[in-house]
Amino acid sequence: MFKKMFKNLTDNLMNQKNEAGEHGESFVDQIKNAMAGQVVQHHFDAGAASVGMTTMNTAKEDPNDPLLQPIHGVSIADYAAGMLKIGEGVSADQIAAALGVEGPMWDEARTLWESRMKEDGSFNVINVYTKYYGEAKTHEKLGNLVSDQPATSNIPAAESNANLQKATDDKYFFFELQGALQAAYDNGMDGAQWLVDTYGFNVSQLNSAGVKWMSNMGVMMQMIDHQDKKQKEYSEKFARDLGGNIADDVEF
Amino acid sequence: MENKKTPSLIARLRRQAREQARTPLTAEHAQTQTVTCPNCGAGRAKPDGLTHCAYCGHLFTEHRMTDGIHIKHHDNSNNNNNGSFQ
Amino acid sequence: MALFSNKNSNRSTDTPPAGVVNRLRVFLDKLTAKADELYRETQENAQAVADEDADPYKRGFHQFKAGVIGQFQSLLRKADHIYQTEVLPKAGLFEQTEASLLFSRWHSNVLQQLTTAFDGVQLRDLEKEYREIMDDYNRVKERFHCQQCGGKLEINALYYISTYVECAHCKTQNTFHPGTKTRLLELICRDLAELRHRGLREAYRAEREAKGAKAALDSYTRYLRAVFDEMSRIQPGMEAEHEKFYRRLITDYQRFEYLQDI
Repeated sequence: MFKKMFKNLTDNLMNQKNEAGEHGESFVDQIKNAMAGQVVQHHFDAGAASVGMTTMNTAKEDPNDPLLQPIHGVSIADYAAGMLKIGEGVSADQIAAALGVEGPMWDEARTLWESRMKEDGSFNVINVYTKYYGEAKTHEKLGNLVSDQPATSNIPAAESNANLQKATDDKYFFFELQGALQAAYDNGMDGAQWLVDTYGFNVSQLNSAGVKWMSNMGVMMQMIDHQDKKQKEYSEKFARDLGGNIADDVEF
Repeated sequence: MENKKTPSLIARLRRQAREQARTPLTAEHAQTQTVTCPNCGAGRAKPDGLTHCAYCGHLFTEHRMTDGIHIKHHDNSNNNNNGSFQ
Repeated sequence: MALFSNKNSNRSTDTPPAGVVNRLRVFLDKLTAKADELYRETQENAQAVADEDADPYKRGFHQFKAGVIGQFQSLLRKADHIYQTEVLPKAGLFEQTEASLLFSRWHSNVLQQLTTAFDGVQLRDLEKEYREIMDDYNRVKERFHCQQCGGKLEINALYYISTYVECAHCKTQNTFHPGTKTRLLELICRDLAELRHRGLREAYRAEREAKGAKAALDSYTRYLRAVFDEMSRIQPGMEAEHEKFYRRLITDYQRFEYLQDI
């Protein structure tokens, strides 16, 4: 089970740049699935450690670890924050400039950090990465970076900012949106695009808004029922929009 | 009779996927550029590395290059050459 | 009315309401017809959906696929709901056993359809994409001139990420940015390499199936070695990184897959 969970997390994190809305389990669902059997945090960490793995809570940052040395001056914290910003629509050029490196340096760093995560069977690199990904908002050079491209949503900026703030402050809203995303995909919609069209921000922005909820398994477990309930409500609505489910006319 | 709904459902799912409006992905064409030294105006030449200007020693980046894919540590300028290359 | 019923149970153990198992059978048959239709139509359409999707990430196809899976799941949910709320509470003991068999057989059939509906679909024509990327790159790389002296820039390697290219005439460093198309090489590299060695993968799978994980290590190694050598041909410059990833996968195999033998 741990192996599967880590594999899912690894794939999820490493493929973020490729997914671009590709359907799969949401980040929350992956963690939920990984928790099948109601694993609580410390059991979970202990279980992972017993097979030579680290979790976000046991990730080690040994300054001499060769796998954690900066690449062309780009530290793992820089890389993690940069990847989060790319998900939010910030360009690689903007990120490189903010970090004080040139395009080729950032490009290589990005490719090679991804390689280090792949080569590290202990998952320590990916867990340190995940920790900094969650702390990207406090990154000195990248934390406040916003895309220099014009917004592609019809939602006014003030409204989308307010929506995003709500997802940051209100866990019920955050998990409602996670449920809505899944419901959208289940009904053949592009959930990522639905989010942009409806609320004016993208999946990466939503996930980074909810990092504090998703990194707390207590909150996750508390909110599972709420998310499921909302997912069902949205699914009924989206199914109506599609023209109904396949067996709506079949009665017992 | 009931079977009529299934084809239309697949057809609708297919149409929905085909007609989905998405935020367009911007495709960039291959291009080249050069860095001109903001201090002396010279184009960047490599004999003395990439991180300093070969002519006036201006610092292009504070970061050290490590052994990467195409970029290697010997692409760092030799810091002793600051300003003395000419 | 309640004369023969067991008062200690909310389930009736005598004659159940007329034909609850039969009603379940009829109901599941109707759902089976829906599932069969969905399955057949999916197989008829899926490849065309993949082919007509011009999105580099195939988002249209994934959207379609998720929708189809969502429909299979709606069938499973509907049947489960009826089974739990309408059948089990109203079935006698014998009927419960019969209904349970009926339901679980139906359930596993639909689950099988759900998991195989997209089998055989080739999401992308990787060889074609690779050819297009390389043709485009080889054409475009001849076009560049040094921004400083105007001399022809010799781009002699395959650069799928931006890098520095020195002008052979004036020694100026030009920064070369490959286009979006060339960058897709990173995206398709592993899938393409795996595709090119699918014969070895099949051989490994057959051996694994027949003899277990430990005995299949050699054929797994042969397959993986071929894939990673191929990846280095597709993405030159990444040999060292590919090698480390290869070693990790072999170690993982010994750590985790061997456990499956037990």
